[in-house]
Amino acid sequence: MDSTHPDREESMLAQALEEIETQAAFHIESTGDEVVVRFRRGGLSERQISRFLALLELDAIRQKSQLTEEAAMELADEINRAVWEKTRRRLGLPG
Amino acid sequence: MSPEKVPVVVDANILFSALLRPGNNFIATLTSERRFYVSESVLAEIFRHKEKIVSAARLDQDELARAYHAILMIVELYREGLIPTACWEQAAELCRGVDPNDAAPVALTLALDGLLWTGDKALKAGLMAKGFDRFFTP
Repeated sequence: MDSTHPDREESMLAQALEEIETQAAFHIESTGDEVVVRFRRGGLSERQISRFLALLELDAIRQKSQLTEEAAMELADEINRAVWEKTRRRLGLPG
Repeated sequence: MSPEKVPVVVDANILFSALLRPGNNFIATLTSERRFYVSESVLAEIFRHKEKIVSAARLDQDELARAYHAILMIVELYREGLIPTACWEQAAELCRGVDPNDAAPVALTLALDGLLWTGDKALKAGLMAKGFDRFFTP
């Protein structure tokens, strides 16, 4: 029988897709706002998985953020100044 | 300590870069097995400045809270009280004439014998001119 017969090709494709689906690196299920992702842990540590999910979350928020580099540097300066002033006073260090 | 295990102190400007649209420097943490540290007071001050951050980034409180939580999943907190006074004094000396307000991340870097991750080019140049070269480059 000709192995390139359309019916056989279709059947092989279906089999390949089924196998790929079973062996897939990850599965995504979406229900409304909730997404469930299943994947093989492999050699991933808890820390790597947490960081990956945290980065995904940050990336989604970053898309909406209008923060400019100037404003970010200004906020960072304010925060560093506040921390240093408190510590300086606590330890009695010169300004 | 192997180079990959050296702790990294994250300056506040790198934390804020997580909210910048052009790029997310934090991506460097993804493949790293390093530990990233921030002093507790920096996180407390970010929380105290939340109204200002929300306004500057045009995010809502919920989004900022989620970003705050995500950052806490990436970095570890270090209590300032555990930083020896000698490290604070050395940091203050290194930052004198550069920017004294940046002494906190430098003091934590000295205390942890780690590397400083900062986006402040002037601070980096000033510290290097004083012989401090413990910087993390992603």
